[in-house]
Amino acid sequence: MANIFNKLIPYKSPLELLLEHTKLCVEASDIMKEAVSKYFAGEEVADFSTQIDTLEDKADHIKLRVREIYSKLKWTYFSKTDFLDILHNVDSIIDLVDDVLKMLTMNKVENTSEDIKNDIVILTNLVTESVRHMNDTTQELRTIVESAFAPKEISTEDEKIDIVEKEEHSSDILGLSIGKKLFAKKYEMNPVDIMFLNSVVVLLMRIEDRAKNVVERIRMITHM
Amino acid sequence: MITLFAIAIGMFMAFAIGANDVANGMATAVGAKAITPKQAALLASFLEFLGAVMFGATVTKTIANGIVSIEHIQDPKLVIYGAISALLAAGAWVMLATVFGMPVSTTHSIIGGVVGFGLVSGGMKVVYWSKLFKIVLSWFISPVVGGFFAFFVFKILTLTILHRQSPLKASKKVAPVMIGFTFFLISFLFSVKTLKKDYGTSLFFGVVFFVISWLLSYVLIKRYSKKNHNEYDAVEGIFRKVQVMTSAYVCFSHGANDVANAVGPIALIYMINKAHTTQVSSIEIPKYILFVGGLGIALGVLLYGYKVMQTIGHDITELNNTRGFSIDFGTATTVLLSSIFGFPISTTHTVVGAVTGVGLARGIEVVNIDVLKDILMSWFITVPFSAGVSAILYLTLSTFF
Repeated sequence: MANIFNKLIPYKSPLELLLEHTKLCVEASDIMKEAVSKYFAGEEVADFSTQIDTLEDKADHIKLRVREIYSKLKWTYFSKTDFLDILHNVDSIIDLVDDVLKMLTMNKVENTSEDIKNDIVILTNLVTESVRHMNDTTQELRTIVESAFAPKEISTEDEKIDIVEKEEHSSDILGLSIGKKLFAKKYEMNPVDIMFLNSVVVLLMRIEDRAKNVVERIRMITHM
Repeated sequence: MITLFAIAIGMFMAFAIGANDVANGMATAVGAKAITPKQAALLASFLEFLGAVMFGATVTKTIANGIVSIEHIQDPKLVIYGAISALLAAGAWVMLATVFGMPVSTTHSIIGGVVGFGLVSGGMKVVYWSKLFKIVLSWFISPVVGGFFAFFVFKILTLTILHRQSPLKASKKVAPVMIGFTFFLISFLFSVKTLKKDYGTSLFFGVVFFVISWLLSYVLIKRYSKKNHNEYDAVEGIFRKVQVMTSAYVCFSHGANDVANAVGPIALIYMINKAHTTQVSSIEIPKYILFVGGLGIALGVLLYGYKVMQTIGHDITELNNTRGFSIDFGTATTVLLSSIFGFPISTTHTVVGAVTGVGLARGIEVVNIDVLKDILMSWFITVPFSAGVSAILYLTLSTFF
């Protein structure tokens, strides 16, 4: 019988597919960063939303392929449940980025203080940075696998995980502060705009939260 | 005339083995692009031939007269019909399975064929059931042993190379030892089993080959290994080259075990022609029969096998070199040991065991469960099918000729 390896080993590694997916998240969050800045500069962001839609389609396709391959595999590097949970969280990052962009196309805020605008831009930058670090952490999994789970590579991974966890904490503080500032303006700003911007901030914090979930799971699967 | 016909079928069977099965031996090296399909075909054909001639006699004898007692058949011509029926039945099943892409084993097919003609020619009593039971048991044990070796080798590589502070430095020391050990094993076993030397002399030969191959590979690895910003990539680079050797080891072992599938029945015909009776148990298998089988396999690899290898080159993206090395080593050692003990086993199924072993060691993500189902199915279908066809052919030939 010819070529038993093709039948035994998946043509595309689920890990490589996950890594492709996280790269899409970085791409999407970079677009979001630019879109948020332009939004507060009063520019149109509908095109950015279309770009995210395309990335989301690609991500969905990858997610389906991973699930399909995984269902047939008998032995995997990581616990199947944990790995699929990572995939779920990574996928929800791109979904949430899409939600942010869609929201920005729905409403144009008026009479918003520069202070609040700046804070939201800073929060977006922080979130984008966290997604980038989440991607670095996930890409490191390739080295961990290549090294057959070498303790020194796991330590390196732990350091990367710590960075994302700390970033999540700072974003939380900033998000709360923006919320307080927004609601303090209840007599000055349009209440709809306050609720709208608060929703954007909540979505940004959720993205950060998902990035943290991903790295926490990675810590679990590398210490099994 | 009929002997020539049998040799022709045997050669065809050997050709089919070379064309289809050998690709698995070189798959990891070709897949890792350590060697081109054409180079792999040349190397594989030479080593298959060498393996068949050096170690093929014991398994060939098992298939020729170790499964069915032919002494109950008075007319030697009937035994020749039986041998031809077994070959034709096995060949037909392998062809059919290839068309449907089923992972069947040539080994299982030929044994089914031999049992089939034995049962219709002499009934239940002529089959050496205890021997057959041991052979069938070896089909279950060989993937487990292959898996164990591959798991063990991968764990050694993990502890001695991948988990070290400098994996590159460690691999320059460990890889030559692994190569040396492979040559030790082959030369020791060849000396004991084929040259029939005593253990002391064989051990001496083994140590000599160990030292020579260790020294040579140490120098070559040191000279040709490349630095890389990623040490693991550099390690894989070393093992990419070493894998050519282990793939060659698989082909060598495969030739030793699978040549019997093609020439076992021919050997039986030779024995009968030599003895002019069916009392053939003391006759040794001449080298030229193994030579014919080895040549058939080599031709199969050269004329068709390399095409199969070309497809492999583009497909295995996930299997890296340290894993490929462990799989090859596990497979080849199991198959070679089985050849020494005269057990005809399936190389393909041993590969499955070895891949699973590395999977269990968290070295690779496997196994497509569908393949395991296919293999189980082939175990339960192959032997009855080829036995049935062989029996029908035998009855037809013995009735009409």
